[in-house]
Amino acid sequence: MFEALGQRLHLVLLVDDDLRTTRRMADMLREDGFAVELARDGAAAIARLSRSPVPDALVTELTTAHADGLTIGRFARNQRPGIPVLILTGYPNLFHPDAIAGGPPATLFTKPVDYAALRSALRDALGPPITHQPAESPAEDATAAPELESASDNARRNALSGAQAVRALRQPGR
Amino acid sequence: MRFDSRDAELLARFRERAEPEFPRIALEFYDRIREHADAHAVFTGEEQILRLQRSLVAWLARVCGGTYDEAYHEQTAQIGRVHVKIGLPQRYMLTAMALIRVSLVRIADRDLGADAAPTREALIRILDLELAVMLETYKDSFVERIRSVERQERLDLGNALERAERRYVNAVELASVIIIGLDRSGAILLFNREAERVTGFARDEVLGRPFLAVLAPEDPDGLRARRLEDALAGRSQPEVSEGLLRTRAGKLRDVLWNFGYAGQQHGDEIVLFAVGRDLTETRAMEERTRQAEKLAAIGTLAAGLAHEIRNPLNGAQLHLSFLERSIKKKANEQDMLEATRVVADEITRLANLVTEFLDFARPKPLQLKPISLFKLCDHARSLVLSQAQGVGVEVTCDLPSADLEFEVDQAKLTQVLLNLLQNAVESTGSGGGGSVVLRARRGPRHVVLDVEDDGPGLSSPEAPIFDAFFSTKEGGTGLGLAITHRIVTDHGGSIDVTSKPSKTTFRVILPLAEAAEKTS
Repeated sequence: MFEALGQRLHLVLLVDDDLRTTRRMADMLREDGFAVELARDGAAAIARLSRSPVPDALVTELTTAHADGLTIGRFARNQRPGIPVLILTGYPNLFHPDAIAGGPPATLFTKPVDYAALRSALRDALGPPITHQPAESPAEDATAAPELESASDNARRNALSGAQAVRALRQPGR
Repeated sequence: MRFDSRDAELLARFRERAEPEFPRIALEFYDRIREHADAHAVFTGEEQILRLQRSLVAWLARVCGGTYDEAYHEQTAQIGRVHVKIGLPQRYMLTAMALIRVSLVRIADRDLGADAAPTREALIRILDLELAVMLETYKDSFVERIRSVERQERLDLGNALERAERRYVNAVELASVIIIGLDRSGAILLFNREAERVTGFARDEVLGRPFLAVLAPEDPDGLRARRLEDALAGRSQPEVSEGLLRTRAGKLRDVLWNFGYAGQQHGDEIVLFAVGRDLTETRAMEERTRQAEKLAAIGTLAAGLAHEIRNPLNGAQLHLSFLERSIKKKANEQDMLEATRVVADEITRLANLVTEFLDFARPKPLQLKPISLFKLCDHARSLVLSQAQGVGVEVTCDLPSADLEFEVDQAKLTQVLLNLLQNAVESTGSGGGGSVVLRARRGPRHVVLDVEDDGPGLSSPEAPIFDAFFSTKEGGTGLGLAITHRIVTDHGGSIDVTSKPSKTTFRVILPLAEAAEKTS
């Protein structure tokens, strides 16, 4: 509905293995004017971040399979310097927001996350929706992209980014 | 003995014949003596023996000299005194004289022909006289010597007694055990320094007073009195027992007692020695160690549990937000919205419990920074003010005349004061209003913070209120005071409570770091 106003929506990548909840959150965020894609683990997230268009914001659980939130955050900053990173966690004592360099400190949310607070943080970090770019093809429109649920889904989609994902996993980031 | 001038002449003649043999006699004499172990021990070396041999030769010449005057007598007496001085027993003098006599008589018999018999008699007489004089001086000198030894021994004994007494006094006074001596009636006759330190009583405050009345805790069933009476009568077995000691301030100390029954010997009035070791500090330290171990284990558990609880709560909350939005969009039914709010509140409550539990069980490390005592207190008061006004409670700060800065974790200490103030306000407010005072005082090495209220007081002051999940408060998590306790002890401080109706005081004592403290 926002595209009709001539704007491109901000693309948010949500990473969490609790798909039921993450999907619901994605629904709500879409309703509130964001484009959203999902990844269920670290490998899928890194694969998605390797592909264009690189998301505008990353919302990730801290303890994710294959690669943790910290690694995903660092990879995201590598792909898009300064990308806002929001970390969700049940145990915030382990994490320091400065652990992800190359941009503003990551925002930490302790679960259970207050949806309204999360939405405000995203709006504050991203600003108003970007003016729509007519050159972009509909296929690249984030709202149309299907949910990426695992690394293998993504590998099928794009062999190159799968290889990048593996490289990313090997990065000694921690 | 009828030693006469004829004897003297005979001896003078004898000397002419015998004198060349005197050195030989002296040599043989000392060789014989040296065969005797005890005598040998007196000699210091060859030089001394040569000197002694020379004196013997001179003595032989004098004995047979023919002149027996006052000077002669004095010289003989001197020999006796010398022998006393070196501690030579009399029996050696007698046997030595016998040796000399045999040697001289042999020479007379061999060389003097017809004069041999009278010369022999003269020799025997003079030598006996010699011996008599020597022994006489020996006796006089010996008596004098014994007297002097006795005097010295008496002096030594006096010194030794004094030394021994001083030693025992020191042992009792410097021992880091409580030593209390009681007479047959149970009155205190001995009260050592450690007893003073532990009880806070000065010696002259307790001496002569009954042990039970001064130092024992309340004894409603008379059990302590009976046990003490048994011990005073020497009827109880010597055994180690744990007991309590009441201090001057009325506090009880854990003491490990050991009763030593002395009986009424030597007219000493103390019949029972109560020797005790103050276990209060040891107990407290053991308790702290146990507490720390428990907390470490709980901390590990808490971290895992927090994760496992917060994730489902996250799902529940997110779906609840969705539900609320859907209801608003479609039906906007107030009942349904109210239901979602109740669920949201319950989720929040659970989430808070997890947060508090983590704060308690696995707190973040302290971030110590210097902070003004005044600011800390004023800030804590301001945080609780509106809540207090709502229930008609007045909250005031009572601060020392000068501010000071001390190193604490500001956020955590604010939480401590806030917890205590909130508890006080709630307690006082439930009783229909009153007042709460936050009092700060500076000690030489610590800061004392009291939160005092005139509310109804704790229902059971002995209850373990600082334990986790001990709560008498409606809707409390049971962790507030446990967290407070933890923060205070993490700062190296202590927290305590005294409570009676209309006066409850929580006292927090925080040490001042030596480098960081400074008065401003």
